[in-house]
Amino acid sequence: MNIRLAEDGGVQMDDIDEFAAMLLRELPGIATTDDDRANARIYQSPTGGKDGEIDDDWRENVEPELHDLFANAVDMVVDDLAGMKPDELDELVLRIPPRHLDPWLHTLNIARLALGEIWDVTQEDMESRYGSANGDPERTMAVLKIDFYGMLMEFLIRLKWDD
Amino acid sequence: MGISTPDIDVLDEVETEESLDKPWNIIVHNDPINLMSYVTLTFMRIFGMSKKKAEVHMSEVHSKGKSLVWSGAREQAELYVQQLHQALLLATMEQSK
Repeated sequence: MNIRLAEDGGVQMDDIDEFAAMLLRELPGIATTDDDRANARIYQSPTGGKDGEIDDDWRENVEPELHDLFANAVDMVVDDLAGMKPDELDELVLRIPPRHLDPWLHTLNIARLALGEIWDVTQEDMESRYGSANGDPERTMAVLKIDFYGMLMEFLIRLKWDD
Repeated sequence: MGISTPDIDVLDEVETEESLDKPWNIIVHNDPINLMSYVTLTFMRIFGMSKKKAEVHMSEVHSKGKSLVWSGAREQAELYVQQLHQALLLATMEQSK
């Protein structure tokens, strides 16, 4: 898979193999998980649970805005993935328009954090060469997805925002 | 004559004003998932930090588990924490003691 800055200021991914395509197609589903642990991480208390009044106000006024922001971000990613099609060389291509780059960062990060919570991923897992410190294949797969989505985030950041 | 009562009222008001004046701190906490480059970028975009300063705070989060990234009025603190939560950083606010 090649990732490059497109002429319109967006990002283009070329020559996407089937495995990468599968991980990309799984992204919206992971980012919209209804897992309680994942949602507790994504929709955090602003006081760490120390001030009930502020936390209640936050749940009422801020969380709905965050829900809308993240849902819109995932919708944009879904739209872009629907356009992931083979080019004239029969290689899968994905184009991300400039205004979708932040929504992609959000969605990739939501998915990474959700996987991290669902699989209780630790710093040790993230630093392990083998994808998971305890060798569980499903957990290893979750860490691999976190790494893959993280790699995409790194590319987007380097291409668009790094000096 | 009730001379002492107004004094007590005045003391209460002073305490309240002092409490309101205490700044709110925004603390960003470490988590194993967020990328260092993303945390740095987020600090730069939200707080207008230079890359060097953003990296100092990012390193502190990573090595010490947390970093105090901003202090000031409650309303502004809430706005910043909202932006940090939009960026999915683990962030809390607390009033200075």
